[in-house]
Order: sequence, then C-alpha cells, then structure tokens
Amino acid sequence: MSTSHHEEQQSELIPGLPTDISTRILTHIPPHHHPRLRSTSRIWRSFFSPSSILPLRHHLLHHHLHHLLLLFPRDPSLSSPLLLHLPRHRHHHLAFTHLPHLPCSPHFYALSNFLPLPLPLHRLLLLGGSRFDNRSFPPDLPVPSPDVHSFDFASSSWSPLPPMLTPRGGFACGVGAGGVVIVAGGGSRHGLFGAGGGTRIGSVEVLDLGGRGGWKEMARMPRPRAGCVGFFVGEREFWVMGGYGDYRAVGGVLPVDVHCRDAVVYDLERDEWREVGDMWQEGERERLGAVAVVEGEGGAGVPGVYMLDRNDIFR
Amino acid sequence: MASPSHTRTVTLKSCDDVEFVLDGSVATLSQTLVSAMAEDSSSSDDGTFTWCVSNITGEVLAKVVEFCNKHADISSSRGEDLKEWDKAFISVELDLLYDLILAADNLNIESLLDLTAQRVADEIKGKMPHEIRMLFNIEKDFTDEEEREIRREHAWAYGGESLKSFL
Repeated sequence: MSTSHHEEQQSELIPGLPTDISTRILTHIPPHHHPRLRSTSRIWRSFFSPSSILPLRHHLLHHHLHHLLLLFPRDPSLSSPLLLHLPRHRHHHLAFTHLPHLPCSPHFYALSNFLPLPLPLHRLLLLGGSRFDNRSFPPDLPVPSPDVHSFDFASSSWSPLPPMLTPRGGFACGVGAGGVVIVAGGGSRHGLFGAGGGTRIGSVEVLDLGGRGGWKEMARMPRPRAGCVGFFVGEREFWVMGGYGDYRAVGGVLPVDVHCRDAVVYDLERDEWREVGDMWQEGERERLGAVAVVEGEGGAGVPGVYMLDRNDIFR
Repeated sequence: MASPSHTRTVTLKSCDDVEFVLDGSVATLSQTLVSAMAEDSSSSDDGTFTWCVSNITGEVLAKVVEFCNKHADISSSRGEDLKEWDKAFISVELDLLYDLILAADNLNIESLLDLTAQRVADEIKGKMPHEIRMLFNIEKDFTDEEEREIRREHAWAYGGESLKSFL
C-alpha cells in the first residue's frame, strides 16, 4: 500500500465523505457504542475519546439528546454501575453501558444508602453511605462512610474528593449555584437495621467544588433526621423533607421510627434554618416513604414534590 | 430580498441533464435553493427558476425530489406515518446513501441530512470495529498489540453487549 494512500486514510473519518459530514454521522451514534468503536482506527480513536465527542454531541444533537439514568444495582465497588440511555422515542432501544467499578478498599464492604449527585459538565458525585468495616467491633455493625467519590464521564474514571467531616448515609444532598454541594442529616442507615436502629445526625456541611478547600460545617438542622431528601429551590434555599428523627417504643418493647412530617429550609446566604409547615395533615399519613423531587420544567422555579409510599404516589 | 413566493416553480437540472420541476414551496426545504432564489428574484418575472446541480446524477436527484415532495406536503403525512415513509425511503444501498448524503449537503436540506446521517450511524453502531473497517474501507492503522491494549482499557464496554437481551 502506498504511503500517500495511507496518509489519506488517516485523515478521513469515513473515506469518501467530507469531514463535517462524517462528524455529523458519527455523533449520531449513541454513547454506549463509543468505547468499542475506538479500536477501529487511530482517527476514530481520537474522535470517540470522551473529551472530543461529548461537546460535539451537545452542540450538534442538543434537540435529541437522550436522558441518562445511572443505576447502582449493588455495592458499586463490587458490581459495576449501569448507565442507561433512556430513549426519547418508543421505537428506540433501551441500551446501557457498564461504568468502571468504584475503587475499593480491603476493609470495607457492602456499601449502601450512598447518595449519587449529578453535576454539570459530565460529572457525578457519590457521597457517603453505610458499609461494614472488617476492622470494627462488633464486625456486623454497619458504619457510615465519609468518603466522596467523583466520576468523570469524559475520562470514565473515579477520583476521590475530600471526605465529609461527619460520616453519614441516607441523607439529604443537593448542588447549588456555583458548584456548592450541601449535605444535611443522615446517619448510620443500613437495611440491616430495623426501626429504631442506627444513628441520626443533624449536622450540615458544604463543599465548594470550585475552591480547593474541604468540607465546612454549617448551622445544624433544628432536629436530627435521617432518610430525608433535599433539593434546591431557587439559588439559595435548600429544602429538606421527610425522613425520620426520634423513635418511640410502642408498649415499651417495639421501637418505631417517628417519621418527620415537616420540612426545613436552609438559607444559604444567612446560614440559618427555618421550619415550614407539615407536608401532610395529622393522621393522613403516619409513615412516609421516599420523597422524590422533579425539577420544574425550564427553570420555572418551584419543583414538584412527589412522595412514594410502597405503591402509592402522593403529591 | 423577498422570500420565494408559492407561485414560482423551480427546475432542478442534474449533471446528466435530467430535469425536475418543483413547486416553490417544496424547494424551500433546500437552503441552497432559498438563497439562490432570493438573489435571483429580481430578474425572473415568469415565476420559474432553474438551478443546475453539477455533481448530482439524475438517479440521486430523483430520490431527493421524492423526499422533498413528501416532506413539504405536511397535510398528508404526519408523525408516525412520515417516520415509516422515511424508513422505507432510506433503505438503500450504501453507495446510493453516500450520494444522497452528498446531495443533501450540497443542497443544504437539513432534514434529509439528518435522516441519512442517522441511517449511516445505525449501520455503524451494530458492528464490530473490523466490520466497520470493511464497510468503509478504512485501513487498520493499529498494530495488534495496540488494538489489544485499547480493548483492555474498555473491556467493560465489550461485555455489555451480551447482556442487552435481558432488557
């Protein structure tokens, strides 16, 4: 094969088509195919490297980008998380990619109740959680984790971030304007504990992703709570809802979690909490399930709040 | 300049002298024709406009015209129907597909360019790298060792394929 032919091959993504058209074609290929296609040729490899293809997809396909859903079937350091590409149209296939494992430690296992937090610019945080530590005693007691991991979709790799001051799992977290991550409440929550087990905390911390510093302790919540959810309303208000705080003993024997009916709101600028009314009337819902928050369309302001309890959905 | 009115007709002439007459409203799908007509509108009063596409054959141009006529006629074709039609329209050999892409690019027909690009992307995404090299006549410029290394880096990406069936 002649040298000139060789060079020509290298400079064209698809021989016979202009580069802008080839680019257009190749950006139509869903992301879960990219890693495999990298081994086609050198130019395909550099084209499908995440740092070049992701901005292109945003630029060219902004009107039909897929939603991505990340699933963590089990402990992410053992089984790889699944990245689902949710199709916008019914006739498209549901497809998924495996992401690399979370870096693991020989001492900890069975991480659960960690919080995933999507960030702009193709990043994802994995915060806290509960796990077993084979060095602690008793060994079958789950302990909360302070670790924070960051996943970068561009390089497809995990990297550690500064750990939280207080270890926690099952807490409220959110990311506000300017890349400020806030976490509130939580405890040593684990599926192993029955009602009344584990700890609850009221501590609140923030991490400025833009700065180089670590976590900072902020004003505590009025009451400790775990299993709660949090979300931002506007740029400076962080709402924490649901979860459970104290527990009481029914008939002096059976401990029952006291679920929080109210919500508390944190003002980021004034560093203080205020309580807002009960979400549900007395007697209406005794036990609250998970609370899901759906972002308002087009930044309309107040997100819709839904609550899941077993099979019922409340709003 | 004034936008092309609906009464005008446009004659497209291929490089092998095949002529197609388009309604003015159909021709507006092509940005190239729109700007050409806008520049020209002062000179022609008879409501016709002729445009020679020097590098597109009659066979390919016939497909392009068929596409434009279908897509300009919004009343008869909507949503799912149009998708079905597109699917049938674009089920062609790769050679013709290439020509269609180049023609869509030349005439700047956004919807046809999208459709053809998607079709080629669909062709690519189900294939392994060696099949793609064969399809597009791409030379493998990796050594075997380099290829193994890239595959190792993304071993998790190859494993995912076999699990697709359970979703």
